[in-house]
Amino acid sequence: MSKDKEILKTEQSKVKKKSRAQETWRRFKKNKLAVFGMILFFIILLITILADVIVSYDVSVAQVASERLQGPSSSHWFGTDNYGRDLFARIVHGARNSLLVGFGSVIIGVTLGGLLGAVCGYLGGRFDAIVMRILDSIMCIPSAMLALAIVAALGTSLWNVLMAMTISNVPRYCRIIRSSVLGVTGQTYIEAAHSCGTPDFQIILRHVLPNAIGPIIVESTMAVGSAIISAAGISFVGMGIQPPAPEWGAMLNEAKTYMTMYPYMVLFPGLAIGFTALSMNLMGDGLRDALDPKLKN
Amino acid sequence: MSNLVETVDLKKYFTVGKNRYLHAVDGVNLEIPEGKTLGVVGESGCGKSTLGRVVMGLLPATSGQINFDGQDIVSCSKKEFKQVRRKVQMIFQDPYSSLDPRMSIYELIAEPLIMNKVYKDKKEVLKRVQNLMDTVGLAERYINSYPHELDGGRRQRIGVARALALNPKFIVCDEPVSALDVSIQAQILNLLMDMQRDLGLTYMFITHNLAVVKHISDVIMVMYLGQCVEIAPADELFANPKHPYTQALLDAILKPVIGSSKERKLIRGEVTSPIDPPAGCRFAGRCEHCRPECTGRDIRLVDVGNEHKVACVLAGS
Amino acid sequence: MEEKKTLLEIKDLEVIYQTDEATVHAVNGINFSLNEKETIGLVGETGAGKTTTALTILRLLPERTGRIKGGQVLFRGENLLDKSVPEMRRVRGAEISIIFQDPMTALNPALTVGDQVLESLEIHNTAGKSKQELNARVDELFNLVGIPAERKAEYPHQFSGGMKQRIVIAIALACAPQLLIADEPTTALDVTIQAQVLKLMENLKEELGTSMIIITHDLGVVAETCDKVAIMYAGEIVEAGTVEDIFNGKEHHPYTVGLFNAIPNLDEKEERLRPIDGLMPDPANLPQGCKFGPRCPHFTEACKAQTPYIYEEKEHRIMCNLFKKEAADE
Repeated sequence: MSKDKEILKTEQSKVKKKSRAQETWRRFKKNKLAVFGMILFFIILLITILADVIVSYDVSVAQVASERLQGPSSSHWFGTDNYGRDLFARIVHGARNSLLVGFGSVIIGVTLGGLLGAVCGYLGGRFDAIVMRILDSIMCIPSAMLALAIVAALGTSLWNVLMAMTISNVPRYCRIIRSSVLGVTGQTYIEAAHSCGTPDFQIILRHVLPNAIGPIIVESTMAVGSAIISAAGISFVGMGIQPPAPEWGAMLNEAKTYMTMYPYMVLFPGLAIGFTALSMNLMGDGLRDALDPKLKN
Repeated sequence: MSNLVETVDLKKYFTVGKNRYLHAVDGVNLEIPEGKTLGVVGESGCGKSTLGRVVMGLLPATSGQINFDGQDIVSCSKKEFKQVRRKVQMIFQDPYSSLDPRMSIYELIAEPLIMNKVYKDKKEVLKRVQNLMDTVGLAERYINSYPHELDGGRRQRIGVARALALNPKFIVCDEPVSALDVSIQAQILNLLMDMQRDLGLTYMFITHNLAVVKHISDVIMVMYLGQCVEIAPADELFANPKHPYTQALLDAILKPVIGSSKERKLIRGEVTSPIDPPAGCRFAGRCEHCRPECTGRDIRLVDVGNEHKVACVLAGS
Repeated sequence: MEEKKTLLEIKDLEVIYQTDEATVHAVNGINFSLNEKETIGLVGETGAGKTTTALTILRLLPERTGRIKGGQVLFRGENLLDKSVPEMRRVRGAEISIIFQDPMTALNPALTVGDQVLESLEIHNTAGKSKQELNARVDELFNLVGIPAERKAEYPHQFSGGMKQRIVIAIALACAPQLLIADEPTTALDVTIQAQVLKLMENLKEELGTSMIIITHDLGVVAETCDKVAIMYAGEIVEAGTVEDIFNGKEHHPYTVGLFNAIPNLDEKEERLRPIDGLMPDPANLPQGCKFGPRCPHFTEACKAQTPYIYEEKEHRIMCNLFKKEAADE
C-alpha cells in the first residue's frame, strides 16, 4: 500500500476528464471500415437531400415510350425501365421514400421495442408476463400480413406504411432487448448499484441499457435493408407508395419480370439498397465496438 | 458497548413452487457491537450471502426484525429506509462482475455520491473521489481507467471506495477476498482492518475461508442450512469448537504444513436440501453423534459460557 | 529404494501468446521432471503460467495466439511437441488426461453422466471391446470415485458440485491414463467437500499408480497431496524441490517466503498480514533480470542486470541471487 501512495505522489499525471461522446468518437475513428460506412452513408444522405438539384423529379416519372428498356448509356446512366423512365432519376428520387421507410420504421421500432423490452426484462414478474404474451400473439401473425392488414385498415399512405411496419417489428426488438437485459440484470453490478441507493430508473438508464445495447445495434442496422424490401412488398400489392412515385423496393419488384433479359434493371436498385444496408452495418458494428470500453485502443 | 446491528428471529424464505419454501435464513439472531466485526462462515448454500443481503435491505425479510442503531428497518417506511441505506453499505465478492464494465473509475466511485445528491458542485464530487482513491490506495492516474484495465486487487479497492463514499457506519463484506490471489488478499484484508481502525466501522464479514475469518473477526457465527449452529468469540471458537459441524469444518482446513491432517475425520455426504427441512437438527443426517432426540424438535442455541453458544443436544450435557 | 522411472520431463519450455497488440510471455524456459507414481504441485498466482504449462503438455493451446517458442515435453522419452495432430489425439485422454477447475461447466448438461463416461471410453476403444465390457467399465469407474452405479442414468444437474467433480475425475480416469493433470481441482468446492475430493484423489493415486500434476494456488492442497513442488512466478519456476524442501527447508526464494507470509496464520494472532508489495508484472512487459525483483525486499542492482543465480542442493533448486554469496564463501 505504501508503494501505491508513493506512486500517487510521484505521478500526479494529467487527470483530464474526457466526455463519453469524445471517447466514443475517438475509438470509432480508429475503425477504418466503420468510417468508410459512415462516409458511404453521408453520400447516400447527401444524394437524398440534393435529389432535386441532381436531377428533376419530372424525369423520374416521365414515361418516354420510345426509350423503353434501354441499357446504361451516357444519356441514361442506369438505363431505363419498361415504361421508359430514367432509372438513375428514379433511384435518386426513390431514396427519400425508401430511406424514410427503412430508417423510420427501424428507429421508431427500436425505441419503442427497446424501452418496452428493457422495462420487461428489468421488472420481470407479472408485467413482463402480460406484455410478452401480447407481443407473442402479435408475433404469431406473419409480419408482412400484419403490416398489410394495418395499412388496409388505416388507408394507403407513406405514414401508414411506416406505422404498420413499426408495429409489426416492435415485438422482435422487444424480445432481443429483453433477453440481453435479462443477462445484464443478473450481474452483481446491478445489485451493487442498488446497494448504494441508485433509483430503479437510473439503474436502467445508466447500467442496464448501455450494457444491453450491443445486440440491438447490430440487429437494427441489419433491419434497415430488410425494412426497405418489405416496404416494397406492401407497395407491390398496391397499398404502399403509389406508382408512379419512385421507391427502391418497388423498382426491384417491377424489374423482376425483366431480370433475365435486362439485368441492369435489378442491379441498380439492388445496389442502392445493398449500399445503404452495408453502410448501416459497418457503422453499427463500429458504433457497438466504440461504445464498449473493453475494446479500447 | 451498544449494538449497532441486531437481528431478531430473522427469516428469509424463497418460494420455489406451490407451498414449497426454501429456508435460506431461518430464525437468525445476531448482535454486532459498534466498531466490531462479526464473521459469518458456512459452506455454499448455507444462507450466509442471503443473510448479508437481507441485513443490507437488498432482499426483503420474510419475518423478524433488523435493528440498525435502534431502528427496525424491516417495518420502517421507504423514506426512513433511504436514510438508513446510506449508513449501510456492501462490498461484493467478485470484483470482476460487481463493477459496471462501461463506467470509468471516476464514474463508479462517484455514483453513490451523485445518486444520493451529496454534493451540489461537480468539483466537490471530483475532490471526494480523489480523496477516496487516496484512502483506499488507488493511484490518481487510474481515475479515467476502466475496470477491465485493472487487476483484481485494484478493482476490489474500487469496491471498497464505493462502499466508503457515503461515510457508512456498517459494511457487509460478502466474500471480499475470495476471488483474489493470496498476496493481494492480504493487501485488501489489511486495508479493511485499517479502515475499521481509522473510521470506526462495523463489519459483517461473510466468507467460507476460515483462516481469513479468524484473522479479521471478533465474533464468529457458523451457519448451516439457514441456521446459526454456533456463535462464539473467534479465539474461543477455534480453541473449543462444540458443534460437530464446526469441528468438521475446522478439521477440513488445509494447513500449509506437511502431515498436519493425515488422520482428519471426514464428514459424510453433502449438504441436504434447504427446501422445507423437517424440524430438528439440520446436520443430523451427516453427524456421527446423531441421536433420536436430534430430530423432531428444533434445537435451540444454548449458552455454554465465555459468550459461546451452541445449538446441539450434546452441548451442556 | 527402487529406481524411479521418469515419466515426464519438461526442458526449457517457452510459450508465448502472440496477439496484434502484444507478445505475452506466459512460460519462460521452465524445467521439471516427474517420475512414475509421483505427484507434483505447480503453485503460483493468477498469470504465473501454470495453466499454460498444462495446456502445452496436452498441446491444447489456443491455436490463433498460442505459440511454443522452444523446449521439449518428453513423455516416456518421446517429445510430444513433435507429434502429429492425430497422434496427439490418441495421447490425450488415453495416456494423459486433464481435469478442469469448474465441474459445473465441464459436463454436458444434455447427456446422462453414464453416457459421458462411456463416450470417453468409446473414443479410445482401440481394443475393440464390446458394448457390455465398456458398460461394465463405466460401473467400475463410478464405484471407484464413490458414486453408486445406479446413478449413471441421471443428468449433471441432479448432482451436487462435489459429485460432479467426482464424475469429471471418472471421465479423466476412464482409459487409465499414466498422467493426470488437475487444474485447480478443488477451488470451486466447499471446504468439507474439498477434503473429500482430495482424499479420493489420494486413494486413486495409491490404487492406480497414476502420476499427477496438480495445479493450485493453495499451499494447503500441496502440503496434503504432493511429493514435489514447483513454485511459479511470471512464467518461471523460482523454486522447486520435494514437498519437505518447500515446507520444512531452511532456504527459500523471497517469493515463496512472501506467499507463506500472506496466508493468515491459524495458530497465532497477528495484527497485520504481511502481503507481498506491488503486483504481478505484466507478462507482455516483463522486467529485466529477476522477474520478482521489483517486488523483492532483497532487491539489488545485480538482480536487475542478469538472470538470477541458481542455487541447487539435491532436488531443491532456487533461482535467486541471495544464495550466490554463500556459494562463493564456501
